[in-house]
Amino acid sequence: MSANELIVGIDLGTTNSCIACVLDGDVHVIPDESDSTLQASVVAFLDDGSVIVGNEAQNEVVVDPINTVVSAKRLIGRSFASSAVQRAIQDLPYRVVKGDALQPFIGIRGQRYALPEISGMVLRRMKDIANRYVGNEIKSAVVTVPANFNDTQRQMTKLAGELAGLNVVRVINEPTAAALAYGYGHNVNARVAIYDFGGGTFDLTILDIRGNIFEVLATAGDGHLGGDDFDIRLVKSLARAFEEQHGVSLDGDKIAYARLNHVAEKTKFELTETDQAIVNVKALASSSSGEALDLKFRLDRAGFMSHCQDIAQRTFLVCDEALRAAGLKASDLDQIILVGGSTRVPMVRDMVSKYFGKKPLTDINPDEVVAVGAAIQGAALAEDHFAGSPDQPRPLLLDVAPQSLGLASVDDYYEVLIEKNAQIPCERTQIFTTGKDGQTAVKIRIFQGEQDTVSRNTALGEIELYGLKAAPRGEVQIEVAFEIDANGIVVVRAKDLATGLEQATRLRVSAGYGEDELTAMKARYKE
Amino acid sequence: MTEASQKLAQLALGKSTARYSGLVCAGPHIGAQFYSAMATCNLVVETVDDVSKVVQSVGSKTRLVVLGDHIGQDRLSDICQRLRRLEHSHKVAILVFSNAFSEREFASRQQQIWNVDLCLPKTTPKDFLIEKLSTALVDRRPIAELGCLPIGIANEIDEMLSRIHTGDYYTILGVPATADSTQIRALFHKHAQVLHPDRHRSRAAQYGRTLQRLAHAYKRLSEIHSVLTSNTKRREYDLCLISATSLRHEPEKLPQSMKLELELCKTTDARIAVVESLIARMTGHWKAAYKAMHAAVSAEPDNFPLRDKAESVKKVYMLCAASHSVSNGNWS
Repeated sequence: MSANELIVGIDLGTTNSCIACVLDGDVHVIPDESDSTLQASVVAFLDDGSVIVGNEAQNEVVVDPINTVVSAKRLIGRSFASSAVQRAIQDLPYRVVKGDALQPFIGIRGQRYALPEISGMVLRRMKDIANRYVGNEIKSAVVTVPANFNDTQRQMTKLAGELAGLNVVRVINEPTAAALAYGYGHNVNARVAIYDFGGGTFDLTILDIRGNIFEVLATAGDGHLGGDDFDIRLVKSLARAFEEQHGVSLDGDKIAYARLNHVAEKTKFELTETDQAIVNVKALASSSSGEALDLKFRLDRAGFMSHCQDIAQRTFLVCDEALRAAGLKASDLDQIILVGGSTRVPMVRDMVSKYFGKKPLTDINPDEVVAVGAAIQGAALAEDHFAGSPDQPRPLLLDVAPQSLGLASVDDYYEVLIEKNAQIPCERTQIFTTGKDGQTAVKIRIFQGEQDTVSRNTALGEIELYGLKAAPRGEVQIEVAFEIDANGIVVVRAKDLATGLEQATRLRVSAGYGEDELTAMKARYKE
Repeated sequence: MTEASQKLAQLALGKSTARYSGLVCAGPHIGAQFYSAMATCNLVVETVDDVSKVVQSVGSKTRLVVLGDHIGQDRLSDICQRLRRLEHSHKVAILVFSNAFSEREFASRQQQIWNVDLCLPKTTPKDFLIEKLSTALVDRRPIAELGCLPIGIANEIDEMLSRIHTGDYYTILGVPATADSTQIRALFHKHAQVLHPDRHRSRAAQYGRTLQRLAHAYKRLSEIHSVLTSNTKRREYDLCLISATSLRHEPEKLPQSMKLELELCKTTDARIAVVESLIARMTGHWKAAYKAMHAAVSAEPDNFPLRDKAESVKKVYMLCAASHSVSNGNWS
């Protein structure tokens, strides 16, 4: 590994992705061939068997929604049975199918694609854009994830990078990246909140920035709350308006809904600029006599607000939680930074000002700030000094565990090992023993979440300590160290206390992929 | 010798190709295999024929001590203990040869019991031996000697690494036990800047387990920070220290009687108060001990076992107060 290896930063978003890097001390947000710095996180599978990714696939979202994957981030690393996936299936036009281990797959043109494959295609596209810009092959990247992503979601994101031929040096939280982009190099000494309202998730992160140290004090999030909710709300009222106008229901018409979704998103953006928007969709559906029916709809900002205010209101429940965890009041914060496309909505900005009692900082580009922060962290990990200021010490990120990590004890009681908001990397050890005479294996089920009973938390997987010495119960003692590493990913090691030997473990990840599937996947994407 | 082990051997023992002496000290009857491995690495072995003189032959330059098991387990164990008591012992790797060590599990157990770096059978192939030794030596070497990091930073890290294994949280961090959380945070930040593995990722990665050593130390530093900045955990830790239970925050290792008393508490408030009371009892401040129990009972008025405890503490306090009025001692 040479000292000047280039590590790029990639913001892998629900709707859009962005890539940046530090070259000769300057941060470059990298544009594609048509000079766009944002790339739609869309993968379209065409009928001739070819696959197109990014902005050029955007058109297919409307034309062929069934064979075009959008919002893959809403599904990645989740269990098929989870409410998030079930809800997404309702909203998304393409087919989501269940795998053997409850992992979701996307079914298109008779093929099954795992979520990391789809995200991998998006990352590959980002990598190609950077290769072209830098004139060299990019090998390593820092990839960002929402702060509330759990272990499986992070692991799958890492896997996506691997499938794209990238060594994912670090997975960092989007809000932390944003803070880095905001504060690094400006000698900031302040407590800041990052209000990150993206397409599919919301989180609030509170940091204490002391010069080059970026210490996260607390983070809280809602994985089911995002700008998409605005769109869904709008789509529903558009469909209702259409039904009222023509007496024709759009229910079950996936293509019409995909078109409405597109229109709703556009209308939302329009209303951030103007006070009124007119929706006009030609030939959305046809009447029973086969006549093409159009949708005409007029919406003003106030109307939109009354439709969606409660969605924005829910973000402040999360803010309350984060402030409580940090032991702070809203007025203790020196600066509020807005990240994510949904913070463009004027209503959201107004409500944020009111809640925190100060105007949020808006002069940062919310679409690029995360990628910029990831690039800065990439440069710091590559020990690349910023040429502009040789004395400027490299930034140091001190992040926290996104969710509590625990295991199932007797009666499915949830025993927390590492508390949410504990600084990472951190490690806790626990001693396990056998419960029966002659028992040679012990199973430990691990979970992430904040609920009292294990069944209401997210199952990460099962660790099996096997090949134990047959002995009377309680005699074999195994010390298991649970670590959350700097990526927010769980690492487990076990040691037999009697022999001091490393104890063999097997980790079965819930909603993960089997060895065979993984090997096949990796082989498929190796050039 | 493979390229990898040659590289490691150089890292472990020095960068130049000159012959090195004074670094390896061996007891009697070690076997030709080992001497041939050392010759490959350009190392001159100083052989001590009288095993009782091995410990005193170890100098400040010594990096490796080699022993054979023919001197008997008891003497071996004694020599290992004496070696580990030497001032610079954390820099010295110890290798013990015995044919009984072809049993891997046994070797691993003895390694732990004697606190030595390697337990290997005499028949170990030369290349494998060099590789094993090199890794052990790199891990024992002060980071400053590896040359992978700037010397000032490396020295600071070495000092931290040695403190982490022997000191309590306050000593490791370098703060008085009365320090407030602002001081603690400031020092945590100062040490984190130096120790954090992210700081040294690309430079240290190729030097044996250097990054893992840093990661291990950093995790301890982070543990210290989280314990000392939480009021509850900090007092629990003070109790662990005062009761000589542990140098780390391990309330589960407290004496059974204390654990039972703490388990009586159902609320955090009561628990904190009982911890305070236990600390006061350990330091002979019975009035404070009684007052804290009183606070615990007010937090959980219906907790009768807790009330009983408070009563008995009160009795001791009364007794002390009575003797105080007689002897005019310094009960407070």
